[in-house]
Amino acid sequence: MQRRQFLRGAGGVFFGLPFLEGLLDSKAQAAGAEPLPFAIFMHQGNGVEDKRWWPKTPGLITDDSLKGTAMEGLTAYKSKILALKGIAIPYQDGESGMKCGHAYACAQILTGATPNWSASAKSRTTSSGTSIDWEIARYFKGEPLNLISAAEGGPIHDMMSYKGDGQKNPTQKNPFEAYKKIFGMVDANADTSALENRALLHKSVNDLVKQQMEELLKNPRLSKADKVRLEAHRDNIRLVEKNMGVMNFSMGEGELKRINQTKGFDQNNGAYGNVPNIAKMHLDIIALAAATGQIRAANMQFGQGFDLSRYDVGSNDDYHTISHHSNKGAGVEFHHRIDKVVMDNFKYLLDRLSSYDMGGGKTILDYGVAVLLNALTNTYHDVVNLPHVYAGSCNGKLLTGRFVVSNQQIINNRFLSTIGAAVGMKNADGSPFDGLNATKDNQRGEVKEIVIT
Amino acid sequence: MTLHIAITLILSGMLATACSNPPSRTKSFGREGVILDPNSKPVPGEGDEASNPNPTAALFATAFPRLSHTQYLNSVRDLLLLKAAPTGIILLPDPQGSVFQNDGKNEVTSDLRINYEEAADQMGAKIASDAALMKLLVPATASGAARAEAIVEPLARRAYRRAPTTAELRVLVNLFNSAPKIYADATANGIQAVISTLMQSPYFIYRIELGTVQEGDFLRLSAIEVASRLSYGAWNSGPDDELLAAAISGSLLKPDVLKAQAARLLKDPRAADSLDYFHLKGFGAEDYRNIPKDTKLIPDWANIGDAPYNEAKAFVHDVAVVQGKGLTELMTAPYTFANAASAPLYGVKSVSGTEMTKITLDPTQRAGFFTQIGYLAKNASLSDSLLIRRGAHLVEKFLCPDVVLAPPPLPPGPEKEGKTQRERMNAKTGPGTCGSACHTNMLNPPGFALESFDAVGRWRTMELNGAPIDPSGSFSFGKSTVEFTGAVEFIKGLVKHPEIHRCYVKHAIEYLYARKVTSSDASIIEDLTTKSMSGMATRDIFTALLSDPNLVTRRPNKETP
Repeated sequence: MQRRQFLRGAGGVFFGLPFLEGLLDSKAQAAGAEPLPFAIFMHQGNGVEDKRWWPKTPGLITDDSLKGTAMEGLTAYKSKILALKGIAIPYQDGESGMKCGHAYACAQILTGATPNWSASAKSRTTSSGTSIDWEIARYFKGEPLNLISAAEGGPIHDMMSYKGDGQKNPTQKNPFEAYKKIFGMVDANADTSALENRALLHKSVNDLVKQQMEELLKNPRLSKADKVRLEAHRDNIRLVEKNMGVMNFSMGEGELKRINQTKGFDQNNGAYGNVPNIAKMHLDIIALAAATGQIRAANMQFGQGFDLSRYDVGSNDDYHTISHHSNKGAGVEFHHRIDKVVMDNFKYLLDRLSSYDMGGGKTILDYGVAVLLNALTNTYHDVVNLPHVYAGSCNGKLLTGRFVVSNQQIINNRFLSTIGAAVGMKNADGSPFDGLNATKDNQRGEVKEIVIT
Repeated sequence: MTLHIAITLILSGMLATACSNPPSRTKSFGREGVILDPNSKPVPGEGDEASNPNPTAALFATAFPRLSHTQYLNSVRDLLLLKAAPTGIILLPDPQGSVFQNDGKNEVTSDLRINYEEAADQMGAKIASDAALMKLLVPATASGAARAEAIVEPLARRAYRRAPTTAELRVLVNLFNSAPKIYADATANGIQAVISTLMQSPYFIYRIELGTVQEGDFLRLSAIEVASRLSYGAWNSGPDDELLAAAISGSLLKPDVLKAQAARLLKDPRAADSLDYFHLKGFGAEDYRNIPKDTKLIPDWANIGDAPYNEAKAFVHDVAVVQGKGLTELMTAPYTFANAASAPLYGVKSVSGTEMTKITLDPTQRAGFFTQIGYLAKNASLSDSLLIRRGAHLVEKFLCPDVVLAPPPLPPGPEKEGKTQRERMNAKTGPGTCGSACHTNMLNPPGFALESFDAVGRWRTMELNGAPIDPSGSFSFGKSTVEFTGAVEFIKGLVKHPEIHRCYVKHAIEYLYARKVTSSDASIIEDLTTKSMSGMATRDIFTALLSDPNLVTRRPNKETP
């Protein structure tokens, strides 16, 4: 294996991951640190070919129940996933045709809040509420990673993540910039060893400072109170080191090879063919950031909300055209193939999260949750029974291994709140978080069907 | 106006009959060469075991007082030979501790530890990527194998505030020579690594006072430790080369050398920052930014912004630094500073712009700090004065009562009838009420005097309802009384009394010695109180305190081995 591993970023720029020592496998060197729960949301547009998307039978997910469905690729994760059928957005008048269903639904899918409808330009439609990724990140004093793999300038470009009423959280399309935001200090023109050297610098400095602290602590003139004081300081240095240790993750060679095969990344030239490849780069970064505790929430928009991408599924039509099953029904098959492309990327995310072995049979995936969802349901772009599947139990808080079909539609505020609670959010009174943008009773409360109590 | 004061004992309690009494003394302590009257009462403070049985509260006696954030930034400035303290460094605020936030209670939390690391990275990168800044740290004559040491040694000396040991220097030189390659230039890499290390070193972050020998209840400090005490008192920053040289040679411990160094430091421009900081923190003026008011009722306040704070800053700087005066001038000056937004509140319309301009005030209405809009507006409600708050704040912060001012300023209960606030407060807290012991003669009267100023410090003769203001009164504390007919008379009477000067000196001790006042300070407190009453400049009070034998000792924690 190569000593140095790279992501290929925008414009063919290579950049390295932070290395210290012994970073050549994909195993966590977490030094006993308990991973922090996280939530990752991945969104597909245009609805799915719903007759072959869900597991075939409710209940326990088995190889057979997945066979022939879009989720077949997730078979290896059958015990770690849960498909939930019966979720609806709360404000459904976008369906009427007077309003763009894509924009109207996208504004709600992570918020459950009333859309601020823009009649003049549907792409200006926003949400009136904060999205769950922001709520989670803010609860834990951070910001979410909000990435998109989609052509610039298309319709409904970034409609998922909101800081508040009408405040879109700008999406990052460039993996290189996304990486910089999380891990910082990367100069695109710098020597590729800069990160390694900076990590070495931190280590050298920490070693020296720690040595000085130890020397001081040996001084027999120290009072007990001063000793406690200095020990607390020294322990904080160790804590920083431990966090650096948690960052001792890297990507496997196979994944790197695939990433390095990505050619001609340019989201601004109107070409829509790169979405899956760029998405994988984003997912690499999201997985690494989650594994190292750098983020507690991330949003990954796969294609646009009104997705005009052209996927390599045997059709020259754009995805939106395909989603309406054009071409005398041939679109049905193409739609299913696109669903599998998206699912392949979702599996890629699960693979990446699972590559961080935490010992005891657990991986980073077990400590968080990754959700694949769609703001529209099917070829008719319905907004009930919205496609939702998640993987990971948030360390045992969420049920997995099942296909749950709810008899009544679950307003998605409740689902999103349940995810927030699983990650650790609480209400002011200490109870599990349950009221994301809730203005009505049916928007409040947990989804009991998926919570392990 | 008459002023009757009887001080029978040094540091006697001011409010023996009011509120709660101070703890009694069980043990006497003496400063080196000073024998206290064994019958005298101590100055209550956390350092007195007698008054503070809680050992964790005696942390002021730590041998590792952590630099305050101001001290840290100033020290970075001087370490890297910058013209000004760096901006853009984020240091999470410390919990509210002592007034001056330099008394050793501050700790290095995990968040602050990360702040320090980021600051070190940031400043290392700033220097390493700026040839002009780096040149300041690289001796032109340095070359060959000695070059690294010639660069590193002065940096380490400034950072550690002492000469680095041979072993320490060797480690730092090795780091410099083998620094990870981040920049193309090897010197830049070395500088970055060394700065990152020094700025996170405990020898930089803490002002270490392990001391040398125990003498009775006191620990004698080394000359190096005294140098830091001196410089952080005078400058809020580390020693310069001359002071360090005196420390390294040991001559600093000679009283005449110590006095000369203290005087030198306090003449340096850096002392101005320290004098400003002392007053702004000590007077509570840092809270004068963006004081909220009901601007519908008081539209004049709408654009006031930070003017009250800037006024206080300009005022104390003018008095203590530019004019070289002391407390009496601060309390009685018939002038202040204002800009276009704040001048109209003083009835002055000739000021334009946002900069602070010196203005003359009506000497029959205003006298010094207590009659400035910052103090008056901060101690008021959104729409009107709060006479008890004004009085209680004045007593608590400027007269250092050795009692706890409790219960809260306004006892619970139904509103009382009265045309004026004075009448209502008297009915609630005055004679015949349960709060009378504290309020009638002590807490309320200063508020009466300041009733001539409304919620934003404008002069007034009647309340909002048209009822006439009565600003007269009688202010008593201990066995002393100030009779007054208005604010100016009250304040001018107050500054003839030693207690406000004594409190001022105590605050100076807390600031300069970075600890609470103890009984060992009694002698110098009385000496400087008397001199302050005679008009001693604040700068000279600082010089005296930083030349005092008290500077070279500290009280160790009781459990020190």
